[in-house]
Amino acid sequence: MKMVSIRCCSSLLTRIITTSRFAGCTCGVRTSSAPLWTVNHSDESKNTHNKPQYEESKQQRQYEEGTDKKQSDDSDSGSTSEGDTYTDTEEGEHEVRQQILDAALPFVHSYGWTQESIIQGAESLGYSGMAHGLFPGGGVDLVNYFYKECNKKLEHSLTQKTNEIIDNPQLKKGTTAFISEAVEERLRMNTEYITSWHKALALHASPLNTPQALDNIGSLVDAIWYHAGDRSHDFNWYTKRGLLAAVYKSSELCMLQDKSDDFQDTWDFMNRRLSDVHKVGKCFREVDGVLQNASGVVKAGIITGMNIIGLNNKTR
Amino acid sequence: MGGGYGTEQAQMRHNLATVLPAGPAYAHINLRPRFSFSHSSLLSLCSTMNWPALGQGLRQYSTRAARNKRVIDRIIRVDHAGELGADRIYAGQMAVLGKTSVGPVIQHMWDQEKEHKAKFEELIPQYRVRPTVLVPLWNVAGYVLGAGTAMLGREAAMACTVAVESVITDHYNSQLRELINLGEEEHKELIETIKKFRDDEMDHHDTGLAHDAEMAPAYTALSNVIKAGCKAAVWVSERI
Repeated sequence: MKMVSIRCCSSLLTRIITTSRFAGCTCGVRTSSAPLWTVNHSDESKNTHNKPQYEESKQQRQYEEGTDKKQSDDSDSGSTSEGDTYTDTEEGEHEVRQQILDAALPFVHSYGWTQESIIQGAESLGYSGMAHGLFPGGGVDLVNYFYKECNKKLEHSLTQKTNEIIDNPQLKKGTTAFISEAVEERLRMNTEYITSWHKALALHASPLNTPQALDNIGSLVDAIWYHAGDRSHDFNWYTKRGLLAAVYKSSELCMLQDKSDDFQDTWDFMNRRLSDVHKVGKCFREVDGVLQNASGVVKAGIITGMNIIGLNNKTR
Repeated sequence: MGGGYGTEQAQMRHNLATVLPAGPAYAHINLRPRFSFSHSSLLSLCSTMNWPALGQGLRQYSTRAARNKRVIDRIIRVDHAGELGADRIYAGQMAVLGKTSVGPVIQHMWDQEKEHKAKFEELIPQYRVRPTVLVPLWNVAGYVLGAGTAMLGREAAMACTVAVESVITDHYNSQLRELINLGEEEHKELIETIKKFRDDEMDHHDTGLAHDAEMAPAYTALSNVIKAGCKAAVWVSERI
C-alpha cells in the first residue's frame, strides 16, 4: 500500500501532471498497467502562469531521453558512467522541488512549517496538491530549504564584501568584527519568520533531522570562517567552526525570545560571546606556548641526566 | 512514451529512490515495512559506502555539482590525510635511521612527501574541503609506525615504505579513475596533480624494494599488516 502510494507520487514528475481533477485520488486505486495521465487543456484557465506546462513537457522529454541515455554521451562531462544515466531527470526533479518550496514560503505565516504550506505552494504553481508527496519529511524540508537559501545569500554577500576589501584595503576590519557582522546579517534573515522559528528549530531538534541540521549549520560557519580569512587545514579547522557554531546557535536561541527594539539585546549577547571566544583563543595559544617550552625543559632535563650518568657518548 | 512496462517500472523505481531525502530512516521505505531498525542501519551503512545503484540512489544527489563536490571533498581529504601520515612515517624513520647509510635515501623521499603535503594543504581551502578529524591521530600513529619499523632494522623500514606506497599507489589510481569518470576536462588540474604524486609514490615503492625491503624479518606478515592498517585508515579518513 505504502509502496504504491509513493510510486503514485513519484510518477507525478515523469508523467504529465493533471490539475485538481486527480487531487482527490486515493493512492492504491491505480492499476499496475499504469495508464498515461494527459493534460486536460480545458483546465488551462486555472493555471495562472505558463511555467508548469513548460516544466511538464521538459520532464516528459527528459523521461523519454532518460530511457535512451545509455547510448548517447553526456554533453557536459563526456562520460557514460552509470551514475550519469539519470542525471538530467534528477536535475529536473530537483528544480521542480526547489520551485515548490520557494512558492510555499509565503504560506508559512498562515500554515506554519508544515505539509499544508507545501500543498498550498504546489497548488499556487498549478501543480496538484499531491505534489507534497515529493517531500516525505514534510515541514522540515521547507525549513531546510529556507535555511539553505539564507546560507546561499550570506555566502554571496560575504563574497562581495571580501571582493570590496580586496579593491579597497582600508575597509579591512578585524576578524572578530567581520564575524560579528556576518552572524548578525545571517540572523537578520530569520526575522521574517521569527514568530514561527521556534517551531522550525523544534523540527530540527528531532533525531531524524539532526544530520541535515548539522550539515546546515556546518556549511554556514564554514562560509563565515572562510571569508573571514581562515585557511587552516588541521584540527584548528574544527575548533574554530565549533566555537562559532556554538555562538551562532546560542544567539539564535536568544533571538527567539528577544523583545527589544531591533533585536539589540541579541546583538549585545552575540558580541559578548564572540569576545569570550576571542579570549579563549588567546588563552589556548598562550598555553600552547607554555607547553612547548615545558617539553623543551623536560628534554633538557633528560639529556642532562644522561650526561651525568655517562650514557651520552658525545661527552667522552 | 517510453518503451513498455519494464522500463517504466525501472524509471519509477529510480524516481522513488531519488525522491526520498537523505537519511537512514527513509532508506528502508521502498524495501521493507517501517521501523525495521536493523535494516535501516544496514542501509545507512550502504549509503555511506560507495556502492553504485542502491546506496547512491538513496542519497540526496540533488545536482551534478553537489555530487562532484562530494567526490572531490572525499578525494582531497583522504589524500591530505595520506600525505600527512607519510610525512610522519618518514619523520619517525629518520629519527631512528637518520645517521645510518640509508638516511639520505629516506631524507629524499621525505622531502618529496613534504612537497605533496604542502600541495594538499593548499588545495584544502581552495576547494573548501573539510580536513579529516583524525589529523592528531594520524600524526601520532604515523610517527609510531615509522619509528617502530625503523627500530626493527633498515630492511623493515624499507618494507614499511613498500607496503604503504603500494596501498597509496592503488588508491591514487582508483581516484584518478573516479575523477576521469566525472569529467576529464573539468578536473584537469587535480588529475595532473594526482598523476604526478602517484608517479612519485611508485618511485618510492621501487626505491624501497631496491634497498632490500624483502629481506626484512617476517616480510609478508609485516607487509600485510601494514597494508591492512593503511586501507582501514584510508576508509576512515574518507568518511570522517
